Amino acid sequence: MTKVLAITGLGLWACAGHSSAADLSLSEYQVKALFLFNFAKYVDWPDEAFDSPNAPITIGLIGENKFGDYLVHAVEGKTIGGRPLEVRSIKGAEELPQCHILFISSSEKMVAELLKKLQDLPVLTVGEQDQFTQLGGIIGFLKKDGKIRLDINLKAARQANLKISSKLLSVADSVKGKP
Amino acid sequence: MRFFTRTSIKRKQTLIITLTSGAALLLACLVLGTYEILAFRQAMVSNLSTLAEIVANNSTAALDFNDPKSNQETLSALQAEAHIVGAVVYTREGQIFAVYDRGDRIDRFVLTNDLIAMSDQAVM
Repeated sequence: MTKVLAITGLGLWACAGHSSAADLSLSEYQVKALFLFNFAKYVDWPDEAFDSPNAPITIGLIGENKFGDYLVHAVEGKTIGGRPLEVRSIKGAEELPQCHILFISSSEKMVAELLKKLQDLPVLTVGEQDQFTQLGGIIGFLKKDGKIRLDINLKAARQANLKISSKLLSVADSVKGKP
Repeated sequence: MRFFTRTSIKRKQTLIITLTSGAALLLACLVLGTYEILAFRQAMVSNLSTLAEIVANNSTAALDFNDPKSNQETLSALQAEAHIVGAVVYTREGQIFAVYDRGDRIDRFVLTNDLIAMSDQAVM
């Protein structure tokens, strides 16, 4: 039976090759940065969202950047489905449609207006404000027992023409707008 | 040998036939037994690898988003297979992430660097 165990253990190890955010020494924003990167693995954008098959996935940041350099370093040299990742600070509204993931910092005041503008564009909006998903955001970070949990608005994702993997939904704390 | 030369042809014949068929039967048993053991092992390894692969695939999101609880649920599906006594998912650092343990029987060891290197190769 030990043999059985050893084999199972070995197989399971395959999944641990993923960058895990389980390290407790990470700060809140380091965990959030890893989550932002990991979202790209579990979300499918429509083909029109990219200029070419190898075009990068752009993570846009709006409002105060609390990640420091960490997010840039975390995505450096990594590819998802053959696409590299890039991080960009968003200054004006005209840059918004170029993002694939948009992180809206809690310092941003005009969240509802911003989300309204983006609702039909294939942009994965991620925020940390309370009620972020109620306002029409797609993924909201929640804090529960000192851990970062996820709140997902599937209806908003559908409207934005994004497909969220069931694996991501299974780790979410709450999912709104299930079909 | 003297016994053999003195007995009747009939008995000799019976003896020879019994011995040869006995030997043939024994050989056949050995071959079949070995084959069964090998085939069983192979089937077990491939079944367990398949199961491990499925569990691994379903554990990626839990690891990526640090959610041991949902991983625990994934692992507990293994209880359908009575012969699996336990399963452990480790993080990249070798720390235990989630455990399934039927009846508190498995050793929960933390992976050492040697083991991590070994299993990384095995996965490749």
